[in-house]
Amino acid sequence: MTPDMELALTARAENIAVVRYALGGLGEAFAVPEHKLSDIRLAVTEACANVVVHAYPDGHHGPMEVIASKDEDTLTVLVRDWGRGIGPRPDSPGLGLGLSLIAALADSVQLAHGDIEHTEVRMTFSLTEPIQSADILLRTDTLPSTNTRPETVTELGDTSRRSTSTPPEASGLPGRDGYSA
Amino acid sequence: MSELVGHADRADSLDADSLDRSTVTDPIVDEPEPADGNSVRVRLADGPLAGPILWRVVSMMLTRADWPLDRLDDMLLVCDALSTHAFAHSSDTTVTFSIQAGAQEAELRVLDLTNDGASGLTRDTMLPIVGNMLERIAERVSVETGADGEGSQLILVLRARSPRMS
Repeated sequence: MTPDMELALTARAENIAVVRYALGGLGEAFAVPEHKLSDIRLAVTEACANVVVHAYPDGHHGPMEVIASKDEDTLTVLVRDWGRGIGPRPDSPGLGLGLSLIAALADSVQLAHGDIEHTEVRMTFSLTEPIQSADILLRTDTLPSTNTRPETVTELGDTSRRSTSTPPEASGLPGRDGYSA
Repeated sequence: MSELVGHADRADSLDADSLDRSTVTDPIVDEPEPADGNSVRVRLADGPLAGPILWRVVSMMLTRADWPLDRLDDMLLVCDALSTHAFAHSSDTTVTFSIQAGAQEAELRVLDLTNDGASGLTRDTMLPIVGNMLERIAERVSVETGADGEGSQLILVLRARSPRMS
């Protein structure tokens, strides 16, 4: 499936505005309802902000990609980086609301990183139905028990599990803003 | 409201087959080099997206570089022309645009065109009386071979304050 839009830019704060603006164009072209477009913009903004703030070491601005595909009534937006991956970050400078906000706004969320050498946050949005639920899927073979980044991650979808009810920091799942220190 | 990371009660119901892979795509490049802070590459599928998105991305970058309104308006014409005609000269169903914007000058590249695509795209923007629109607006219009030695790319360079305006 050919994505409808692929944006490749530097993970800088000012480029988040470019992404938001581009999503506005996507919403216009696909006649996405304004309230739904607002949700999409906010969720994607949070995902991009996570990349800008957490993916790369301080002072480094690596690449970031935003890929959007529309399939009938569903829009999938993928935010990708080549940074240090997803993991708990107790010293996060943010409020730690990023992933929870994304989960609240998207119909499903998938996280992937590790052997595939890039980190992905994939969000799907129903363009017609109200939000039913938000599932965050962490695609890993094994979830670490400490605050280390998972090293073994399979191809997308080979194995996956929904997160557990233990606190993110304890389970090794993304905590706070979802990116490792 | 939906739930945050957590909730093991539904974990058992999930397996690999439940993952939708239909929209998983390869990166634009495998391991992209860190780009210049004010450059963006956007690949668009043929359809209604091209015009609205290309214009928004370009205008955001030029505005950030503090370009004057008249040149933003010029760029709108360029974006409209490119998004209208570029797909007819693309080597597949997408067209990639690369934008690099500075305070004085901006470069807009249309990539992945067919061998004669860049020239054809330039020809398509010819207007009666006006002439070639791209050449009227841009300070430089050039055609190069694609980066991988195949196909062609169209390169437009615009200055923030065109000497033609004075």
